[in-house]
Amino acid sequence: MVELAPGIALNLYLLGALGMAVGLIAGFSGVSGGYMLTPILMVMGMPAPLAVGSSVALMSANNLIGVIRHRRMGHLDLKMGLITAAGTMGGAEIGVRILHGLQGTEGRVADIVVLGVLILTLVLVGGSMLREVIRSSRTLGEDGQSAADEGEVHTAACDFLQGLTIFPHIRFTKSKLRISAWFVLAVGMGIGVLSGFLGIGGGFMLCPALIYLIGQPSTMAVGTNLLGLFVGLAFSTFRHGMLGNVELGVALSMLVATGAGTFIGAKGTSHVKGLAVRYVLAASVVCAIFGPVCTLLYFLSGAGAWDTAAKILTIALMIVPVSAVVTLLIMARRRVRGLEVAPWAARLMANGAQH
Amino acid sequence: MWVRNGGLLSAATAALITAVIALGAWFFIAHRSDWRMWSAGASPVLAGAVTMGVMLIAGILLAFALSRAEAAILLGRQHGGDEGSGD
Repeated sequence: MVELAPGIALNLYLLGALGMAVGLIAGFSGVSGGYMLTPILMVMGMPAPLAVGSSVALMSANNLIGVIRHRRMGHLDLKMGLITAAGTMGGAEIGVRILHGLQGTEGRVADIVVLGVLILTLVLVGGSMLREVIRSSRTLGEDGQSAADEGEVHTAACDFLQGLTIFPHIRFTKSKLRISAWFVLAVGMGIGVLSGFLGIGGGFMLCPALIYLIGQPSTMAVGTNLLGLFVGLAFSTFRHGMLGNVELGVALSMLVATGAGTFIGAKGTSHVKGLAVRYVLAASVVCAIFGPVCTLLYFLSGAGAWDTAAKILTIALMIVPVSAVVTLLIMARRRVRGLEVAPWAARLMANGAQH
Repeated sequence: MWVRNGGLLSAATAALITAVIALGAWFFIAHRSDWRMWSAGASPVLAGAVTMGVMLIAGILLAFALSRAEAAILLGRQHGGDEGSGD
């Protein structure tokens, strides 16, 4: 147990187990998992500024691992990544300042505002993800290939933005596109504000934004997204460290657990289709909403039952995406070994999956 | 074979690096009050830089540990394949 303040103690074993679960989902879905981590730390009793600071510190280290791996694989557009990073850094500074301003207010205003904005973000993102996943699974053809499963995506928004020749209109050779740097900077800045204020990495929003708004190919967007997020998160860690908002012991002990989970989860991604990854991501975002809602109700009403419900729901609902990932990993392993797999699982497995 | 071709060395390196990070976590938990007192007294820029530096070093170490663990698994699979083919 780590005693943060009189009456506030964290169970490190429980945090380690939850960290591993977060890592498993994050590694499988290619996100940093902050939208699960911050609520977990808050539900476990950490005050909002400490939960946000520690979550950001943990994710900066976790994202660095992702950046190193994707650079080796060549999935990194350095030029676009650095412009996104400049945006996330600026945005993170704004987010940290807003949170610091709220810290000075009386009562649990900071906790309530952070949770409220987090819930709103998760509802909006989770809702749109669920809609997209349901649409994609309907269009899943008989050959098991979804129209929106892999490859480049061309939306009206990215065609429009690429058509606007506002200086500096830069050619990104690795991503094979030309767009004004201001749009890339603005996307990064928006995500940076959320990263500094809510302690979420924002990968579950930045990656789709790079694909659907900027028009970057999916494979390049994953690495570029991680670089942009890493710089923003490292800067947020620095700023939260300045304000004493980072619990280094908690962040480091959870890092080992999330690192191990990410390692196992990332291994499974190559065996499944993009749609399976999006199923898990949508389920994890939707499941992450209920715990913070109960905590928010506890802060507003003061009824202890909501606090208990928040703890139970946060842990219980983690089981949904974790068991989905574990089941898919087991099915992928069976398929690689030439054993029989369930028909629903076979539809979600990548063609020509290898070890 | 797995031991000779470096599998054991890779696995041991990964375990050792993970243990170093876990030791760091234990240090900051055991000396939590000292660390908070130091960071409150030190210049904010230094406290922020040390916090960021610790996390980035831990991230680099863990990335290396994971790559070693991956190498150990790959070598283990190769070794399994060699045994299976009767080499």
